[in-house]
Amino acid sequence: MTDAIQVRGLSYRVEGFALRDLNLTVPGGAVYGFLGPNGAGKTTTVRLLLGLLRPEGGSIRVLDEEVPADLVSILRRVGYVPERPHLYPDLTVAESIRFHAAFHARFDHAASGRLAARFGLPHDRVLSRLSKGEMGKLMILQALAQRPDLLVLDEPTDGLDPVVRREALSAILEYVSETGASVLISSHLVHELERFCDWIGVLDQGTMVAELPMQEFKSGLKRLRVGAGAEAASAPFSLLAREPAGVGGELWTVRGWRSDMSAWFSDTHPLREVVDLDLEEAFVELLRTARTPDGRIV
Amino acid sequence: MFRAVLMSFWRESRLAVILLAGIALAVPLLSLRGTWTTDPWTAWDLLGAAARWSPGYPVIALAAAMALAAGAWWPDHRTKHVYALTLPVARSRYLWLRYLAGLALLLAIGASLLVGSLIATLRITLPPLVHAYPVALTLRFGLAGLSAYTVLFALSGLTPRMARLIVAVCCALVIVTVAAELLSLEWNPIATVVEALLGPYSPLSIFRARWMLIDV
Repeated sequence: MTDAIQVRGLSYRVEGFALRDLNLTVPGGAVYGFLGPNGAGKTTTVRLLLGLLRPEGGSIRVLDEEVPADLVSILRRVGYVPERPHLYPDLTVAESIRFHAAFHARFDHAASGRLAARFGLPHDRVLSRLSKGEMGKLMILQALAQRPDLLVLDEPTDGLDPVVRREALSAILEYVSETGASVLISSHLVHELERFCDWIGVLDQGTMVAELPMQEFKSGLKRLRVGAGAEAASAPFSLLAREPAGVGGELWTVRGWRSDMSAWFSDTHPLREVVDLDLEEAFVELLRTARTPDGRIV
Repeated sequence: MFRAVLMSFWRESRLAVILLAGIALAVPLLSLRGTWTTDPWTAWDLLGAAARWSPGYPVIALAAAMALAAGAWWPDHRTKHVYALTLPVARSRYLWLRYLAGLALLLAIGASLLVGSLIATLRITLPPLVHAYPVALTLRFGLAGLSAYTVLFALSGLTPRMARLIVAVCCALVIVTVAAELLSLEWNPIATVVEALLGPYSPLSIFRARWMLIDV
């Protein structure tokens, strides 16, 4: 398997929102963080990947098979945790697990039992009476116990308290390190993805703003404090934004920065400071520089 | 898979199924309760007692069909069909699983009616020329339930857009009927539709048949 997910030229339109010519690649075995502000189109993209929505154009391949032609075969190998609870609310925890197991031939009952004990899930409680955290853990339990080759997690920890979030994420990471499964995890909680994603895709207003390895995303994005008047046309890095900062100075937001590039600056236009951006700052910068002053995507 | 869907269907509809099965068991017993005395009934009295209760059977069949059809898609409507659509099963197969699970519960209610009818008829001595039809009544119940359940199952699975369309057509029918009445036209579209639904060759015509546990 080369790529777990390969999306090319995907377009979809509903009233007031459109995905435009979306390209997305999740390499096999990667943990891909799908970032974007609320309303960017992350959930819509995930739903298109799983055949829940019908695209207007483009192609989607998941685990080397076509969506929607091979959907049943794909869904056998994909564990899905949606943004909102989707399990039948009148079943008990044990019944819900049994129901799920009946549809997944590879369902691992032993792993399910271990996770249920670890998460402290009450077997006899009806799902409609579970807390938000318990429901989140049950959805993750079911997705992991079906032994998927690809996990699609749509804001899986949104609204959960830090303890539950940590438990859930560590269970997912253990599964991934044990099986080598690929993961697409969408979130707007940037710091949460920073710890374990090795690829990042940033979506804004239905457009993919950036898609790159996490290392590149984290290390190549910098804020430079430089002397005013420097000409950036021949720079060995990409200048994303440029704004005045103090007297005779400018603040540049750049991508693709390496430490040896400081030699490019001259004495007349010196580099005064290189500021590291953490992932959240990088994310905000990326969005800010991708938008026009009136808030639209360039 | 079928067992899992049946179990989930049972969890959703068990109260209605238990209640309707209880009623289906009780109605035949109640209809012939007077005959449990030592005095034999005349054929006329027996037919009268059976006839008084006969409208109850199609009502139970319709109620069972309505309850089961409503329960068939209820958990999926509540979860916006996301779970069902992400299960690794063809959508047509999932639809059949849901349909057949509801049918299995309808059969359980029918079995309850059969048991009630058999007990009721075995406890009486039938006068000459009068016969008991517990199996025929149950078959009629099953067919009526099946027809109504199938129609209502399809309706309850409609998308909101289709449901709105049907409501709009119903409203249009009412408006046209009122307009025809005001214009003194001898045409009643609602009556025409009802006749088409319950007429002699329609799938629901069985509801207008003779539902007698005891008959000549």
